[in-house]
Amino acid sequence: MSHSAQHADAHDHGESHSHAIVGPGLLRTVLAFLLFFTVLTVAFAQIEVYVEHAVGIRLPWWVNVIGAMSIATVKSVLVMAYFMQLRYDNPINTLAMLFCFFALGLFLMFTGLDLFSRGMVYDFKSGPVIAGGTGAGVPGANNQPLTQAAKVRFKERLAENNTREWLICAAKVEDAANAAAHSKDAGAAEAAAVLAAQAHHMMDLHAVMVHPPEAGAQAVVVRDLEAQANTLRTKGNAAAAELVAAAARSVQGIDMAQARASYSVEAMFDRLAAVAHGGHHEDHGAASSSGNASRARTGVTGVTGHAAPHANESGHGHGSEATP
Amino acid sequence: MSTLSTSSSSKPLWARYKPAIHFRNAAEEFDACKLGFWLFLTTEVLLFGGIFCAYFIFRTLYPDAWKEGSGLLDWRFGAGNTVVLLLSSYTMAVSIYCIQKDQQFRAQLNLIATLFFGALFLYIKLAYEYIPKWSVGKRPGSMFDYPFAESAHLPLWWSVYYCGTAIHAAHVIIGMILIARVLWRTTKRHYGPTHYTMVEITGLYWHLVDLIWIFLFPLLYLIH
Repeated sequence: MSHSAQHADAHDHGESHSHAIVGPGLLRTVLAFLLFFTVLTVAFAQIEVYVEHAVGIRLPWWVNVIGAMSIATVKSVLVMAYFMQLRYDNPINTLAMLFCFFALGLFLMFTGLDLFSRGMVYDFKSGPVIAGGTGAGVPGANNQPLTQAAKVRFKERLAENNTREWLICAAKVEDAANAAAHSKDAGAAEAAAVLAAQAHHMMDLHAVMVHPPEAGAQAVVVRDLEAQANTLRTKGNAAAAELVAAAARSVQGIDMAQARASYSVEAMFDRLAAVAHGGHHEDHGAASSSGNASRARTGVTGVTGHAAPHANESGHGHGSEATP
Repeated sequence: MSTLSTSSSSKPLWARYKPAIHFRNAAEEFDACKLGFWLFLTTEVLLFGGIFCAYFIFRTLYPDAWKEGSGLLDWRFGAGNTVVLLLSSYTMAVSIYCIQKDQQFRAQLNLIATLFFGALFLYIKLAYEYIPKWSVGKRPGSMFDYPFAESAHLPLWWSVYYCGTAIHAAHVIIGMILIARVLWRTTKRHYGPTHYTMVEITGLYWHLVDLIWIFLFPLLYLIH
């Protein structure tokens, strides 16, 4: 590739040996290679996940690390050689950088040497250097790990009635969505999609943590569902509209006082945790465009939660399809 | 301006540039500046080396927290940002070529494109990663407040994540300021075929930003 970089004429400014001109053609080639390697490194990581899930072969951890780091090294060499023009530069610049990488290598090597060999000298020094790292001593953590303190705080929030009511409604909508999904009636598929989107939106973890649910969740959800039923009706899908309207009526029919009493904080938390561990999509519906969330966002300030009033029925296989 | 461009010289600023008196010629000054800047870049690499070392230590000590943490990141945003930064590196390199060929307008367009990609990177980072994550309690160290953590050491993961990416983002911002300055001075014809040291050095800084991200991306998003 070097031939496409011509050296500038010397008469411009004395004996300039370092003013290489790297043309756009070469730069485009390098860019294409860099983009290719980006795709490659992502594909490499995805293939490993796929192999583990589909075939059941668990590759050793270093395959992933070595693969990703090798590709990153190739990419960085390309950037330094062509974009940063080290290839055409005074070699002392390359030397300075190489020495720096050597120093970085020493730094990491001696750290690793220390970290991995303590147990060889004294058995009791193997494992974590200092027991801790959980933040238990931080003010506000009450001598529990920070992760535990966060759980306790969140459960206090779940105990509030507004949140609880919202989660009870969400569970009702989810039940209706599941029922529609298993039904063979006309319009059931469309109704199931609408209801599942609504339930998904109501389980948006981001919403409950950032905007605590407001009072009157029941009325808000009923209004939302009725609006969606009307939309389906104007589209000419009367059967689906009726199913969504029925779901709205069933939400309206919830006896909140009784449902509240029978729905424990632990059950709510477990359902939310199942959603959180099912994937990380709660992050993305939040900041922006993630499809169904925006559709269902009519007037609802939002709340969360895969809530199930009947906690004993938890997880009868809604999880896998619910992920977008 | 009028006082500068007297009748004796109607040449643009770059053509009238004189190297500092302690250099034999412009080429020597250029080389010295570049070597100095490469030395500075080595210190930048070592700065991020500290982060990489922290990553290495905590990953070794608490592999569960690292597995859980990288699972909480979405590789699509990391990969998208990688592409954005690579494109910006390309436009930066092309703008240097244009300056070398005295194609001032094309150089400005490429600098503007570079600024745009830099801003896009920051936007993706903030809108799709920092803000949504921070607001659900995925925060570093003592600010941690995410209720569904499985590993007790997850706050450490977020500490490394935020330190690494925020120091990187700070470099993106500084790089953008430098590029904006170069762009401004380009409109005044400060740079041309015989004098473009500042453009070159700004480019080096910008490529370093890209270089660091090339390593941060797989370490944070892909390795699990």
